[in-house]
Amino acid sequence: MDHSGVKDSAVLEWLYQEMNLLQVHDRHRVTEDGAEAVALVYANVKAGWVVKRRLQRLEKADWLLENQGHWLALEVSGTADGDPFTRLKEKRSQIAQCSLSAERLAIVIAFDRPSIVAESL
Amino acid sequence: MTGAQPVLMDLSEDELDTLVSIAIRRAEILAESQAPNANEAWYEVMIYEERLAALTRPEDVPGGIARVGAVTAALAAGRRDKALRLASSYLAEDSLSSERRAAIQRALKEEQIRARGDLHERIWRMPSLYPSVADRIDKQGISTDQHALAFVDYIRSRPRPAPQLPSSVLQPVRLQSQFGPDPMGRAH
Repeated sequence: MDHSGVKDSAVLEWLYQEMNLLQVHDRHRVTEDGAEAVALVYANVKAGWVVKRRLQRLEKADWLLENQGHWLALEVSGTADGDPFTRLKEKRSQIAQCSLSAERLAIVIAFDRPSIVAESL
Repeated sequence: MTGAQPVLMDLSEDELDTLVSIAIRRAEILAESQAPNANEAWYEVMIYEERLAALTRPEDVPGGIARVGAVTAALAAGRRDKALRLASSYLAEDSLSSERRAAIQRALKEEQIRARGDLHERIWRMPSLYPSVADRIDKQGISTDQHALAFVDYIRSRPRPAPQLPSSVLQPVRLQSQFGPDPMGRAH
């Protein structure tokens, strides 16, 4: 894990799925859904953020999370391969446009390494 | 609160948050794939957002999100009149933040620009359908939205002639069984 330059590690477990079964699904959506699941768990374990709701695209963030009266706008992306830091830069600039009165966090989940790269704004 | 389905009135904010989260995801996927029922999916989002707006205060973060969300979902559902009514009602709330007001106004403006783009496209497709109008467009030169809108009004106001079908289409069709003569002696 790399959160704003601070490195850490964690154990993440998930149920094994047959690759043949996974290949039936849209690769992009499976990656996106998987990334959201990992990112939401990360935000909760790391700082106690709890999901409030999904946001529409115009908000420039995917999720609104809550923690003791504070709000967090979370933007998530997943990569099956490629450089997660390049993607994080894109997501960072996207969530920088989020105008909600909330803290902001961009997370990229890279499944090939695997790794979590994140940046708080 | 207007337009809420009776069953929604019993749902809590948490339950509506769950429903709107699922509905947004579905609507976005359908819209991405240009599915014909994407509008219905956005309409469902609008219903939940509108109910959430009624349950929350405009000055709170979730309340502001629901108000903007109701307007944008109505626009995405193709319900422009509804979007304008919702926007008007939310913008009348004194405690709605200036940022949320700007978001509502921005959404309306973006939709207007998109609608104008569609209109222009339709105008330039018209020559094959309306040759005489196409002539006038060529002669007068359409360059502004105002002119485009004027021409659309003009075209809509004109009675359209009934389509002239080729005579062969109008000939009565004699049904012929592919299995030969009817054993019961009935005429086809």
